[in-house]
Amino acid sequence: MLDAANISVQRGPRTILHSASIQIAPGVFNAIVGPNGSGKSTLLRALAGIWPVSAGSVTLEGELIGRVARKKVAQKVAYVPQETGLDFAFTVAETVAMGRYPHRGRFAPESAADRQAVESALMQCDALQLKDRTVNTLSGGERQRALIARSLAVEPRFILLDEPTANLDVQHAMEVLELCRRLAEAGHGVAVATHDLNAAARYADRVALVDSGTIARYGPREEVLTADTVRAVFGVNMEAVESAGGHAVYVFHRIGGPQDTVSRLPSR
Amino acid sequence: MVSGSSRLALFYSVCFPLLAVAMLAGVGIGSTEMGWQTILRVAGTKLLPSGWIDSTGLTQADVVIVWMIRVPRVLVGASVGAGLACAGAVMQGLFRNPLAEPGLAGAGTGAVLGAVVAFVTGWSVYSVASLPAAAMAGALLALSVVYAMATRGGVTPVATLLLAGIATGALLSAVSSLLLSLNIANWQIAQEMIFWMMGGLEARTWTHVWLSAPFVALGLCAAVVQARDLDLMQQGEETAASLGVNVEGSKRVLMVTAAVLTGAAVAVAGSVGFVGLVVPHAVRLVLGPANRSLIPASAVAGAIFLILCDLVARSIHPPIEIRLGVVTAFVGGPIFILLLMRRYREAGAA
Repeated sequence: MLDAANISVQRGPRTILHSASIQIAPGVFNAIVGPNGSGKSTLLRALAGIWPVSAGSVTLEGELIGRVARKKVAQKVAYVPQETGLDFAFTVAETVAMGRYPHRGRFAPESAADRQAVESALMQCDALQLKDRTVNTLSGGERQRALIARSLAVEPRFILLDEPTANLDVQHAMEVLELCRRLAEAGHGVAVATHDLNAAARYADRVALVDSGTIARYGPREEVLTADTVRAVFGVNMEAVESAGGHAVYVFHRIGGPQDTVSRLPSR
Repeated sequence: MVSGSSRLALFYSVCFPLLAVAMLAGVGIGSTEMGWQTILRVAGTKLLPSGWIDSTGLTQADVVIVWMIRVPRVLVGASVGAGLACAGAVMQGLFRNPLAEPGLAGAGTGAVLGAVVAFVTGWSVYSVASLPAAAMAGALLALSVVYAMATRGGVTPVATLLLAGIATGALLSAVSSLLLSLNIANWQIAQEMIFWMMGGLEARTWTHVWLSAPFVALGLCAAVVQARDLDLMQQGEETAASLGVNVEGSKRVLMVTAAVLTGAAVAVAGSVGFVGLVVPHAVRLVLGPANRSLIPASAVAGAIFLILCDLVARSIHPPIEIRLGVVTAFVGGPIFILLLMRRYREAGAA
C-alpha cells in the first residue's frame, strides 16, 4: 500500500496541497481528476516521494517514504512526469533500460534480469518494434508507450502517471488507459492524473477529485463523479448518458451556456 | 545497424591512431621540421632507461625543440582539448541542453577571470598551483550563477541559458578587462592577461602540462563515474529523482566536475571557445548520447581536435601565429549557428 495521510505540501511560501489523503492499493486503478493547477501533479510527486510533505505522512508499505533510501523507493514506485527531456537521441531500448537504474550498481553491467525486465516492459507496452528508434522521432502515442515501458522496467509495485493522455488522439489515449487498466489487473497499484472525466469513469476503480489543493472527494467512481460534485469543482453541469455498450458517458454543459446539444444530433 | 560495442571499438580503432598521428604531426611540423624517427628517438631517450635507444646523431637542438618546446605544447593541447570537450559533455547533460558549452555558459569567462585574479594578486608567483585552482573557482562561480539564473523547476531553456551565459560572461570579462586596464603599465602582466583572454598554446612548458593534465584526468574520471546519473538527468530532474538519483547532490558534483575540467583547461590555454560544443556533438552522431561512452570518447576526440587546430593556427601563415581561439571559433561558430537554426526549425515544425 502507498498511503498518503493528511498530507500538505509547501513550495516556497505557498501551501499547494492541504491535508490530502489517498491510498494507492495493489490491483486498484485510481484516477486523479481536477481543474488545471488544482494540485494533481503535486499529489503524485508527494506520493512518489520526490517532493517532501510539510504535514501528514506518506508511507510506502508501512514505512515513512522520506526515511526510505531514494533507490529503494525508486524500486517500488515508478513515476512518469509530464515533462520529459527528449533533446538527446537515446533509443527506446536505452530509455527503457534506464528504468533498471535503481536496481543496478554504479558500474554493474546489464544483468540477465535487467535484460528480461526491459524486454517484458517493451512487450507489455507493445513497443518492441520501436526498440531501435530514437525517442525524438516517436509520435506522441509511441513516446508515451516508451515512457510507460521505462516505468515498467523498474518492476514497481506502484505506478504513478501524470497526464499520460495529454496530447494524445482518442485511439492512443484509449490504448494507454487500457494498458493502465491491465497493469492494475495484474496487481500494480496505479494512479493516473487526467483531465478526462469520461476516461476516469470508464477505466478507474476509484476517483480522487482534487480542487484548489484539497481532495474534495475520494471513493468509488460512481460515488465521486456525480452531477453535484462536478458542478461544485469544475463549474459545469454534467449529464450522464448511457452508451449502447452500457457504460456511462458524461456530457458537460457550461452553466448558463447553450443547452444540451446531444439531443440535436441526428439519430441513425 | 552496427551494435553499440562494435561501434565503440570502431571509433577507438580510428581515433587512437589518429591521435598518435596528430601528436606526431604537432611535434614534427614547425619552423624546423622534425622527422618522425627523430621524434620517436628523442621520446625514447627521455622515456626509456638510458642505453635502450641509440642517441648518436641526435643534436642538442633536436632534443630541445622536440622535448622542451613541441612535446609540452602538444600535450597541453591534448589536455585542454580533452578537458573542454569533456566539460561540454557534462554541461550539456547538467543543463539538459545540447547547446551548453563552457564558453557559452560563462564558465570559460569565469575561469579566465580566476586566472587573471591569481596573476594580478601575485598568488601565481607564490604557488603555480594557485592558477588552476583560481580558474576552477572562477568557473564554478560562473556556472552556479548561470545555473541559478537560467534554471526554473529543473528546466533550462536554450534561450535563457544563452542569455544568462552571455550576461554573466559579459560581466565577468568586464572585470577581467578592468583588471587588465589597471595593470596595462606593467607590460608583462598585461601580456599574460591578453594571452588568457584570447587563448593560445605558445610557450607552453612541462609545468603547464602538470598544471593541467592531472586535473583533466581527475575530472574525466569523476565524469565517467557519474555518466549513468547524467543520462538520467538528461531525461529531466523529476524522472531522474523518481528513478533513484539524488538530484541535488548529483547536480553539485557535476557542476564541480565541469568547473574542474574547464578550469584545468583555461588555466594553461586561456579562453578557447566551441571545443565543448563541437566535439561532443560530433561524437554523439557516431556513438549516440549515452554518457558512459560519450564522455571518454569526447576526451580523445577533443584532444585530437585541439592539437589539429593548434597546428593550423601556427602553420597557416608562419611565422605569425593565429590565436588558437580564433581557429576554434572559425570551426565552432558556423556549427553552432547551424545547430541553433536546426533547433528552431524543429521547434517550428513541432
